[in-house]
Amino acid sequence: MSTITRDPVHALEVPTDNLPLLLPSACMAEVVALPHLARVPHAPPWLLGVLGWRLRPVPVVSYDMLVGGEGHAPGPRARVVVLYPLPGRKAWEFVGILSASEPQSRIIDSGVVPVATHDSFRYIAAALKFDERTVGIPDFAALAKVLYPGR
Amino acid sequence: MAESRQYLRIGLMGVDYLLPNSTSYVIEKRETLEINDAPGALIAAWQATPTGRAPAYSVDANLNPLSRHAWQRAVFFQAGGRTLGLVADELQLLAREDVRVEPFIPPGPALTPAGHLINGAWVRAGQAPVLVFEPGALADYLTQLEGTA
Repeated sequence: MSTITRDPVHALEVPTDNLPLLLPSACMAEVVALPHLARVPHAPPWLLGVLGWRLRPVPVVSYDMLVGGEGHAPGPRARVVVLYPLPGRKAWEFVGILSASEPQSRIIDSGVVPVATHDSFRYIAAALKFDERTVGIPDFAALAKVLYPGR
Repeated sequence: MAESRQYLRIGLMGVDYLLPNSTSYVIEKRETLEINDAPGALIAAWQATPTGRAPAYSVDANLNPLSRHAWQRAVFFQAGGRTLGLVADELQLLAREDVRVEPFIPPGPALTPAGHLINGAWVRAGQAPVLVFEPGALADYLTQLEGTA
């Protein structure tokens, strides 16, 4: 198994009920507390609602529910990681990912070992081993396709 | 880029939506309408029109059909050559300068052939966003409800 030898990359580990996500810092606009969301009528279960962020509407998505997991009400420690628009999306289409608790800072460097992905890792481009935990780096292009079908 | 339009605030069981003045609409009081008293009726009333009558639908905050009788006003709007109504708990015309709507299309598939029900949102500091209806899609959606009721 090879190791990563490029320059270190700063990232945040986003806790979820499924596979923890590793989001490069360059993709993130801000981490905010989970406020009251506007519910979108007849939205898919994974679309939790709309967040008002810097006077912009930002949809908040549950990765757990997107990959078919069960949803439950976010706890008081939940956060929203606001991402810059996904590939191919308009400049105002920021998107929020639900984090079960405060994301933790991580550095991806030569000590981090890639691991094989498997079918249960949906919308994941690569998986890495941190200590004994496996974390997934989202496939942002795949996420854009599933979040914005036909657009 | 925010658009400068006038909006009608529509309150549905504690949840607000906005309807833009890109469509023409009229607010009617209950007593001016032909009331439908049928149990479980999706259509709460009809507005007499020159060519017949236009239905006013009763839905809840999530736009699911909801039969109710304690309502006072409905808004009738035009979309795609049709006139359709929506029974509301609250209706308020908002001043143009008070509302700043940003474009917003929800992720996920569109609910109607005309597209997404929502195409904008009004965000105020410290409050949940208020979603803006796309009139054509809303009309399609309500018509679909009638077909399933």
